[in-house]
Amino acid sequence: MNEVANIVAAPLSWIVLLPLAGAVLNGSLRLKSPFNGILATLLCFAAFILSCLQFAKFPEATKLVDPGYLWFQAGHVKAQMGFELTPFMSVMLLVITGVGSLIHLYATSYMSHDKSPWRFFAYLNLFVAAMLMLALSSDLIGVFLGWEGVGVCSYLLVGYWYEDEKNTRAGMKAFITNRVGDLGFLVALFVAFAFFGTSSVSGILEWVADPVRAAALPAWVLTVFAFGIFWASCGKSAQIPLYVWLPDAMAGPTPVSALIHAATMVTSGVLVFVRLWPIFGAQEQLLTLVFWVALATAWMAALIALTQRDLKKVLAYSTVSQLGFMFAALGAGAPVAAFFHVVTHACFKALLFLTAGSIIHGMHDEKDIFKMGGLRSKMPLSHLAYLVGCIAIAGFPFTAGFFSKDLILTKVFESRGLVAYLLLLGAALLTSFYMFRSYTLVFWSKPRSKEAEHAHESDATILTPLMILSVLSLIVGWLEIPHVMGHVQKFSQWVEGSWTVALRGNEAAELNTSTEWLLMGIAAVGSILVAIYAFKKYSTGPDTSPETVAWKVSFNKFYVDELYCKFIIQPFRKVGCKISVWVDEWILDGFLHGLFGGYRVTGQVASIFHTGSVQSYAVLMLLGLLAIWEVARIW
Amino acid sequence: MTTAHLILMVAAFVFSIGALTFFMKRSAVVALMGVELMLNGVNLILVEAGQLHHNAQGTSLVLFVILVAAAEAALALSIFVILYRKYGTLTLENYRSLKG
Repeated sequence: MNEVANIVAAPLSWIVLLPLAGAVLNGSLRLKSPFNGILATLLCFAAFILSCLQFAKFPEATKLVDPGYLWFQAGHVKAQMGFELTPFMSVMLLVITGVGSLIHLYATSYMSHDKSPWRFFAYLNLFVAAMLMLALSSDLIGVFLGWEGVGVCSYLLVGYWYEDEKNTRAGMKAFITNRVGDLGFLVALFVAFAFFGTSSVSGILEWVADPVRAAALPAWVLTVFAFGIFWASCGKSAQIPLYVWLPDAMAGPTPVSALIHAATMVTSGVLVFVRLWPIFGAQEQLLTLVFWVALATAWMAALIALTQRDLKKVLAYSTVSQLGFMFAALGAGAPVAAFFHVVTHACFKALLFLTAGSIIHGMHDEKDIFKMGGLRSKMPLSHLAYLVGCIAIAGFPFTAGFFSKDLILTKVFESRGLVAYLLLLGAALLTSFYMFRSYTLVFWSKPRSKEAEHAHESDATILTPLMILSVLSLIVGWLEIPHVMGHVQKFSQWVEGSWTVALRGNEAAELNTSTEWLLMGIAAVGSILVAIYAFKKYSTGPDTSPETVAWKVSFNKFYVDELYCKFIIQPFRKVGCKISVWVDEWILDGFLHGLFGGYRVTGQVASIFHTGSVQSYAVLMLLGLLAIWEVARIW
Repeated sequence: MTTAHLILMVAAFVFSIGALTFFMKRSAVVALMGVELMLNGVNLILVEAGQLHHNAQGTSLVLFVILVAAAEAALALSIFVILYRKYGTLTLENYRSLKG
């Protein structure tokens, strides 16, 4: 990397500090609606403007650095509270602050009837600050701080309506499942301290890039490091086996689902992966594992989404499935494709969630799609927005999802072969099916409940972000167009300068033109045909055919929650009970018993001398005086 | 054996007699006499110490002790009156309200 091109002392810390200030202000001022939302939106938007200014520096600079200050030092371990920005992260920065601003704006209206929206906006701003910390920090400890910060905010926001115990339970589930994953991050951090002697990202990458130092490392070090990060990503980015928290996290308010559980936080696993790609790219076996885990996740979540009735649950499983696509791209050695899908997914999934929020708002908090129907005339703009989101996620030609998914499928075909390609394509076609199932059930046919008959369109504050995101969902994909269709590579050219080592797979033979057309055609035509099939199937209303075994398995989410409960949670609880009873009886009670037993014995001995007789006291006094005299004399 | 030795031994003897009286006699009035005896033993030592050091400090301190002893005797006798009214006896063994 060219040191001259690094711009030192860029105001990166302000990008993090602005939303943080918003969180503090909103938390302490407790403004009335809508001023709390306006404050939060303005500060998030200010961070967006600042991000744009940093973004504009990029074609010339290769890396922006804000050295910050030394946070703490313990032995040779130094934690620097500093920030750095690579071209790749600058794109993510725009997504976080840009989509974040839109969602803040949306929430200003969406949360206006809530009891304490200032609390909501304080959490939401805190989340944005933590997410930016995660993205920008130049040190893995700072990344970890952001990583935990977004976890805490996720917990707070999922359980935001804490009067309902179901919500707090969902929040705890999200938090605890993520803790299981974070163990991996900690292991990776310890490995970094022990073997690299540094936790700074660039320091680690330099170490790995240096052939002399890298050769001196034991072979397992990088594998453990990479696996730790992957395990943590499984938690945060909802991959098998730790994906179970994400669907439950939909208990939170819808803007939260859009911002945290679709657009930004759940992609942080992918972000850390891509940022540390020089390490992962060399871990051949780990990437194979990542690929198959991701493929299984994409399939499983898609199968579950086929039968769900809760609109937000459908979208949640679709998010899990799309995250599977991103990790499949990573597993196929294509970080740029994975990251491209992160960006496009952030646009259309945020759009879908916000539209779902608009629908649920209009339906007076009814989330069951079987009770909707016929909403296209009552909510025309929401209908349009949802349709755009659906065609984008299903990968209809020329939408954002088309280009990013096509890129992933092509890369998978190149490096993992035909079978893997066909399997992933199957998951993509399922996406098209369940999305159009939900679309048709919500907007077509006749209203199936009283709420649906009286549904109303949302106000302009809610619709404006929907329109902006709709446009983005259609055009973002044009940043990266395969060479058979015009060969635009703005995105990959922008991003590729972010690593010191060359990306793997670049030297792989280009597919010939006809193969590429064929792959693209199959995906596009397939998704359109599946969409038409789903539309036909559900245009008359929900499926009323008798329940089959497959349907039950899918509807009950493969019974994974029940299995976890039986084989992990209950044994843990039993062991925990045993330990807590033992500690309670022997350590806490034992200490107290010992304490007051000691006092009792001392008292009993002392009370022997308390005869009540004045004369015996006098004798004791004299003896005491003699004893003191004797001691003083001997001394 | 010098005069000083003799006087100090007498003083110790008087103090011990007083202490034993206070420790062993059952009557409160006799016990009080024991206390007075102890004070007198100490007075004797103070006077002798003043003589040995050729100054009047010890002797003048004795005047204060006699004064305090007189006050103490007056106080103790009035306490005995109250004790007798309360318990109907002046035998020390019957006062046990300090027992722990």
